Amino acid sequence: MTGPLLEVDDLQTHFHLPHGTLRAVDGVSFTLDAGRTLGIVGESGSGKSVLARSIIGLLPMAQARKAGGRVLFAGRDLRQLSEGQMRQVRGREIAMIFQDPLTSLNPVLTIGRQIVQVLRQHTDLSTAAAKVRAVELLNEVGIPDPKQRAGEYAHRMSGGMRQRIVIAIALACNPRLLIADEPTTALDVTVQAQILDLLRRLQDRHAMALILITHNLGVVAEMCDDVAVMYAGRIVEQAPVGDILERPRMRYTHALLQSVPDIDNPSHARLPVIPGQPPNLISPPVGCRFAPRCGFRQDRCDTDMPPHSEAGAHHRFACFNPVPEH
Amino acid sequence: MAGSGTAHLQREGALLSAHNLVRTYKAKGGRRVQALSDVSLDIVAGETLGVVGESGSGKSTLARAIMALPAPDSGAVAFDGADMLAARGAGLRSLRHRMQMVFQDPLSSLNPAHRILDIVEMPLLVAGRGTAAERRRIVLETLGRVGLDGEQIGHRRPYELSGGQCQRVSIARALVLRPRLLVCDEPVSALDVSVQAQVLNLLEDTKAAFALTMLFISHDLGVVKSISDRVAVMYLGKLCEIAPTDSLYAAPRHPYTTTLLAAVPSLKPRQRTQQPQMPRGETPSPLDVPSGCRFRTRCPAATERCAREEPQIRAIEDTPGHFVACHHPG
Amino acid sequence: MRRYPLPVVVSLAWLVLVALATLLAAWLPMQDPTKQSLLNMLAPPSLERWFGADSLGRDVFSRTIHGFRISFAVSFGAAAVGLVFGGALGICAGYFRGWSERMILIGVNIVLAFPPLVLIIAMVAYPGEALLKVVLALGIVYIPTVTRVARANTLLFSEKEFVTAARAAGMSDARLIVRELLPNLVPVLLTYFLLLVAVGVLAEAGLSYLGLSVPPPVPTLGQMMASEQANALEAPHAIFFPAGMLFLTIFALNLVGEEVQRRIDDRAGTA
Repeated sequence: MTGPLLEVDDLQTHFHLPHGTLRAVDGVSFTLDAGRTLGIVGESGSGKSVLARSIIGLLPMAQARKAGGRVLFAGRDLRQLSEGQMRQVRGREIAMIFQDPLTSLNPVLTIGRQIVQVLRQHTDLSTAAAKVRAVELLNEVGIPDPKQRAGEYAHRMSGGMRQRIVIAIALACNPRLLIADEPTTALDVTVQAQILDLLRRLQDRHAMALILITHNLGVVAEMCDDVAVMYAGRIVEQAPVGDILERPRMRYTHALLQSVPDIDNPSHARLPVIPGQPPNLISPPVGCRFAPRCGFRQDRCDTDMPPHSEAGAHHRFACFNPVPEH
Repeated sequence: MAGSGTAHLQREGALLSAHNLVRTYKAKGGRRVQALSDVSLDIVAGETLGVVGESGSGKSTLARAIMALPAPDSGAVAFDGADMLAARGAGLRSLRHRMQMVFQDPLSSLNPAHRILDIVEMPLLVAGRGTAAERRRIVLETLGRVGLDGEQIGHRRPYELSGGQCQRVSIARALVLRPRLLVCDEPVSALDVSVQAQVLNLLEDTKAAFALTMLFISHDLGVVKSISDRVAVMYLGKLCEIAPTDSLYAAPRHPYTTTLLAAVPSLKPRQRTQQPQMPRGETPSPLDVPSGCRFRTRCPAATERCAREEPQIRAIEDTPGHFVACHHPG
Repeated sequence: MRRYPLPVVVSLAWLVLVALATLLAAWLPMQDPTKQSLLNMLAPPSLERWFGADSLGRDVFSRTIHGFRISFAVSFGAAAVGLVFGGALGICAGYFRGWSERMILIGVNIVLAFPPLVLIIAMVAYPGEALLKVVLALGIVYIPTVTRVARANTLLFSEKEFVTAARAAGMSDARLIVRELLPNLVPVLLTYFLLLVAVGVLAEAGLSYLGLSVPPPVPTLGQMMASEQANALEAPHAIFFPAGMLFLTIFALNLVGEEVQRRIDDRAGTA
């Protein structure tokens, strides 16, 4: 198969609320090749979670509207598919895991049963064969005593275990793309290291593409090939991970990197601060959405939306007054 | 049960000194969980002591125990020259006014039925300080010090404010009585990265402006490093290591501290000198703590002695102020 | 000014109308509700008698309005008894926990174990002023559920950090309950109060139908329906109007209660 595995083109998702239309994702475009890892970084309100759910089609339909754009997965536009067709895709070709493993698992079913359910839904396996496969999967994600655990319930297990089970369920049908929405945010730091390591190994073994959504720049640094930084519903910078970390151009990316209290910083380092708060997405500012908080704002930043500029291969950013190259 | 030792406690200059704190909870099925197992700690006036640990370490329980909210099951807490746990009535209230707390969840730490001005005024009312007009003046002034315009937001309710603003209100409330000690229990964990930086800087500024001493609890090692003078590491209700910040981060001696530091994802992974070792296993359940050293089930350096004998906290010879509870420190 | 949905406005208007009529019943130009008239037995509705007359010639409209006086007195009274005592017990149980909580819950379970009707019959059998007895009896039946609701919500709020903050400032328990917890409990308890009032109107109608409420000659809705049910086919108006008024009033109470609930949820949801 040639071409990227996933191509998102000017994606828009709006929420119709009583007090206005919330433009949660407002024109997002990116591509992802098979087997690669893309990190989507942003703070709350950036639209990163809504973006993930828009790709896989898991939006609360009462208020959300697919307002525009295409999501091309292996050439097919997912936005055009019916719900029935999307259900074939979900779990089988694209899987998703979420932040809180406890609420992702059904408390009244054994974990073995939950894996078997997914397998029976998307494959031709008999129940007996599916049970065997479920134990294999539990073993693959590092659960000790998998045969025993398959008969247990989720609430007896630790957060790390549960997240492993969630990953096992996601991987059951060998999806080509895994979307992970803040998969380690609720976990202890040592467990996080183990889960990220597991994701890396599984990704290699299954040649799976991974979209990792997080606010933690350290996780992005360790896990991702490419990074897209989101702010107020749009991607403001996108580049390979090394470029983003060492040569950020857009002012928000740069300020964000500076304000993280990194463990390798010297102690008692005073953190440079981004003043103010993210904008209201119902009536976002005209022009660059970061302008009201930007220390390098120019007049045209307030009136015009900066277009994407190139800064070397695969490095795009949207800024009128970017960090200078050196 | 063998104690964990108090070798790391200073003799003078301690604003708060906690000895041998124990706190147990009843878990389901009647079993007992020791959230704090003989922990001793002291805080020198004017310093910021950071306490790090993962879930089940007991760090939040420690914060509440030293404030007697509620009091620990056993142990002693001396604060500002007085016995915190023996105090009652007016004496206890007076001590409480000198020790205030900032909490993790910005929204649930503020009463949703009250307005901001009332929330910040509450400690002054309880302490019976001044007239209504004087209290109002202090409230507005303190709100200003934390970067909020009391006239503008004073009549709003907490759910009308952002997380960062709520946290500032929380800090203002903690400051109105001009306490000596500020206990911060994960104050920035629920905030966005950019807001986190704002609140951390605010805490540093107010510490200087109000001449505070701070106890800063967090699971985030980067945050703790940026704000603390000394750092204590806890695991399953015990103190593992305590040292000045630079010393702890540059040269950790306890295997758990090393594991913890190695597990933190860094923005500059290429600068790491060696491939960090992956942490082994998971934290045991607090209902079933390992005998002897609690970390031994996951420790690469564990020996038979570690199962038999609980390590006492000892000084590290060549590094002043650096103490560790380990039979085989690195 | 917030806009209220039309059904709620209509319900509120209806309730206000009925409430005013019952409050001012003594002064309104209505027929005497107890005056019998052989001439007008089962007279159909007319301009003089809006709801017609019952089997003893008494004016149904006037009796209905007077009947509502008892309905409201009992329902509000019982709901208030339930709220005050149940609320106090529930808050104590939820705040202080331990021994007092266990005792209160045991008491709640004991009262709940009795079928409510049996309880009320037993209490009403005592000598004493009828209205007071009914109010207390129904109120006591209400107390256990109010206790549970109050306890559950107190537990919820007691665990929040703003309560710890108040303790850290040295606030006494009593002051904490009143200043910090009560304002948060009022919305829930208020909604529950309205629910109890609606239930109480219906309960009183049932009790008076069985003859357990205030006895004649004071008109009560249930008793009106009981005495006229023999004539239901010939003179439906004598039952239809009181029953219809009852239905509309309870419906209105429920609608208003739901709107209050929705506004409370909205406010909590914004948080």
